[in-house]
Amino acid sequence: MSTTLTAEHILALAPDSGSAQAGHGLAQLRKWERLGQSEYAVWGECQGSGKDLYRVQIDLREPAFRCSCPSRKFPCKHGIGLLLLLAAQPASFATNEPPPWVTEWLNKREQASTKRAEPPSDSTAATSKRTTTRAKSSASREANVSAGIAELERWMNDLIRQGLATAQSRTASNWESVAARLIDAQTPGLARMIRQLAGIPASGAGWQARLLRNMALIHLLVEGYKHRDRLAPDLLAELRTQIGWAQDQEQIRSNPGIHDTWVVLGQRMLEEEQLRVQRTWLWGIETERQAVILAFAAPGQSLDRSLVPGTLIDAELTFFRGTFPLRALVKERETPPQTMEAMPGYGSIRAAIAHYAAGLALNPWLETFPCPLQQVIPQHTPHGWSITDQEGVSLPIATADIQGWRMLGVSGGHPISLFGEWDGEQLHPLSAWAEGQFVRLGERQKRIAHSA
Amino acid sequence: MSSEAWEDLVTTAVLGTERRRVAVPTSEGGLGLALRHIDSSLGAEQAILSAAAMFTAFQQAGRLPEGRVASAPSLAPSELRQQCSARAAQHLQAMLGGSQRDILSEWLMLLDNAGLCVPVSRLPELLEAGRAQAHLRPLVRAVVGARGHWLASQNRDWEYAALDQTERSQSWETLTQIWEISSRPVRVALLETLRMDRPEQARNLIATTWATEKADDRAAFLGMLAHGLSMADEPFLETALDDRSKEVRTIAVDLLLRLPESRLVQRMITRVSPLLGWVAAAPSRLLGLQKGRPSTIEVTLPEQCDKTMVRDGVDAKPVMQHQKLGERAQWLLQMLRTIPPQHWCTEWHTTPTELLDAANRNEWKSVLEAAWISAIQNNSDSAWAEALLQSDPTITSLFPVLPTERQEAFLLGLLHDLHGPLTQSAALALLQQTTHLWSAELTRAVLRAVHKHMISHQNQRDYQLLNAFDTFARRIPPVLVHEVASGWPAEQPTREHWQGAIDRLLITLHFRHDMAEAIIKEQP
Repeated sequence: MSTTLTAEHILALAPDSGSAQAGHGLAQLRKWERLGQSEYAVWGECQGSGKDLYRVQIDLREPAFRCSCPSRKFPCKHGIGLLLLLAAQPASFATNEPPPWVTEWLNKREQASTKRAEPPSDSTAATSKRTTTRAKSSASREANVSAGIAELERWMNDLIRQGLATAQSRTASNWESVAARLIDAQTPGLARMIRQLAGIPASGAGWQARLLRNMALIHLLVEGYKHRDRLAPDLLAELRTQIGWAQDQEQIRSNPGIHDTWVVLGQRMLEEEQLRVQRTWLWGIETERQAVILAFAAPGQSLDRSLVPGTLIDAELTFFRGTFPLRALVKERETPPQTMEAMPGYGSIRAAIAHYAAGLALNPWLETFPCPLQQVIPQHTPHGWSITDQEGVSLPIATADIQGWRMLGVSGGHPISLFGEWDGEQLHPLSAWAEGQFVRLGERQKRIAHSA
Repeated sequence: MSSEAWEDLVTTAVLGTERRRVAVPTSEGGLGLALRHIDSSLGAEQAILSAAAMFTAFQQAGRLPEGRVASAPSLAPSELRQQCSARAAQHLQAMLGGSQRDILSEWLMLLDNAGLCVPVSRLPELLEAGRAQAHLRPLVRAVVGARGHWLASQNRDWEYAALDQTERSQSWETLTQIWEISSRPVRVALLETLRMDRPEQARNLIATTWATEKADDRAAFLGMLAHGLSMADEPFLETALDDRSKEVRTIAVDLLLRLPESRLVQRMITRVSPLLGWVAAAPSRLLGLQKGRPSTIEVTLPEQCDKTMVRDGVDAKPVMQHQKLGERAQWLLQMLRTIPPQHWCTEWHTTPTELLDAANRNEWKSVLEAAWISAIQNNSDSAWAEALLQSDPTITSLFPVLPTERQEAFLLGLLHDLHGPLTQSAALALLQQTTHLWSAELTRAVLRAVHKHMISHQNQRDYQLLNAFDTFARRIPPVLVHEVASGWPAEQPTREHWQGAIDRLLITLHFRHDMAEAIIKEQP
């Protein structure tokens, strides 16, 4: 089996530009020995800088990499090099029985994935003990949350009573102490919203209306929580997620999922307080379902790169519960990634906004809406960037200048397909499809400071 | 109207329910219906927040994007050149991303020669590179294609690339129109292009608006006459000597120096001739009893620096010091450097060797040598440059004057006669001055010398040579990469000292080899 990934896709898997470059340099036959391939794996041995021969292998279904070199980067340059070599010169990989060090790894992976698919099962005693512990800690959390929310309600009422004008004179530590108490009350979602509120009084003209709006959305959560016994299950799930309960990923993964061919539309990486968050957006071709896969990395860690924008994957996705479910997990990947051949999307901006409104109606706390648009023309105006659709309707674009120029450049004044995140005010472009090519518009991940 | 109701609600919230009496807002339609559900008995603050929540949901979901019909965007013209292959695009991306950035100009030239253009998605980074490094601009201009010119014309920072090559075949009328409306970067680019095959048109364009241009614009345009400079430009440059701006006058002088037949140089000859005299050699007589005398140069320093000298570029109070020379010596130096040394040979019926010998023995040796080195550079007199280098190979500034074949011959000579360590030879510095692709012969000679040096000086960490490897990596023809990879001394610890530098050299050569192959193999 070979790979249908192009060299550009493969290089996009690299954790930083240095690895990509080094990988490119290693994609030469003379660096490798005992290359081979089987149904869905490739392997080879690569000359390191000393006398060492590194053993490199790839499970093509994801692709997943493994290398015996000491680098902590993932995938390392040897993995990138091997995959590039496979893409360029598949004939050099003889179809063989994999050597023991390959079969060992592949078997381990099989076991791990079957284990993940099954719901956890163990002895009744252990299960009941776990259930009791869980019940105790969840009861205590409920108590904390109730108390925290009651206090938040009082705090918000005070602010409304005294007037929002007083918000401008509150200090940063004043806001932070409210947020800190919400963390203590085990409601991190609410704490994040308070931290967002803190920045509004200084945000310029119209801050009063913005502050009121954001407080109103928090108020909905407070009210919802007070009446949680009466809420439909999906709404309750959404409420709890917004407040800060994490959903049980094991549970979600074990649910039946949605099979489809998913287009990996685009990817956005954000830095958030000591953590990097990566959102990868998927669009199901048959089901027209949209999904977002979240990945996190602490400083020094690499983000998961297994989903490459501009590719198609056959996969089963399971969704987190909510009123407008977007967040999902990849339960099972069924084939290696293929290259995209067209970009799906809304035929007009009005259609996209109508879908956004429908989403908001289900989830008023919706912050980021996936917005692929077909046949739009990017423009550069004195006020900034915008796109216009075939009906003459325009949307404002928020982007770094260089990406805006790229967007304009690939369109040449002609209509293109564009995918971005809509936040209710601006579209943040992440990818485009123009003249039969997929173009990434988000910023590349910056170089991680590793010692290679 | 719901927006009034909303404004009212915000005002109430801003002032506070303590100060303002609350009435639950009303509205029509679905919003009004929802608002009526608010139970005001729960408290004024709750009522406000609940109402705000409904307004928010209503506004967010109901907001329609602007229906304004934006002005129709311009369409990019169709591409005349083919885009380079995906593999070549990867090389470009690597270079723009920071690795092997010095190779970028070589890559751009290869692409232009192959008649290809860059992929559209990489245009912003490439145009930015041209903005940041002026020497890349002509190369960037050549390969951005029709789409690139279109894109560049919309960004002030990239205007240098806005014009395409067809501009230079335009009629005079069109050219003057473009000239009148364009900004400086566009006009500079236009001049550069025109000077290649219609130099007089370029000069005439400059002349059309000369009187009304700002000083730094005048300076920029005048500087463009350096391309394709000829005696036809002399009259214009002569008038520029009287310009109001010192910068413009300096440029005019710099350019006139390169034209030995210009009036400026003739005036200098008139001034300097009375100051220098040649006393021919006297042979020995009376069977050696009366010793011979070698030829000498008699030097008189100028008495004053008058207005005509200043007009011709002499600085009465020079800031640049040439080794503690006095004021009058500096005036002589400034004048002498405008006159090609060949003039003195012709005037005094002597040979270059004799002239240089005489200068060597003169008390004003430093003035004479500095002046002539400067003159040779200005006139690109390669015969003289070589003569001086033969006697003193450390005058690296003259090396670029030699044509590449002579450079190679000179270097081969030095490398062949190498006695001491390579790092103490003038060859190393001169090798780093080369800008052309080396021949196989030169490459092999350099490698032999480097190998020898490594073996005989293995304990030294030679930073000078290590750094020189960076230059070698860009000059060695990539086809020789396999030859270069072998033959390095294998003994430790020599090999260990040098391994890093060798690896980097080979990586660069492989990269240049791959990038050339990616372009040439997939040429249309």
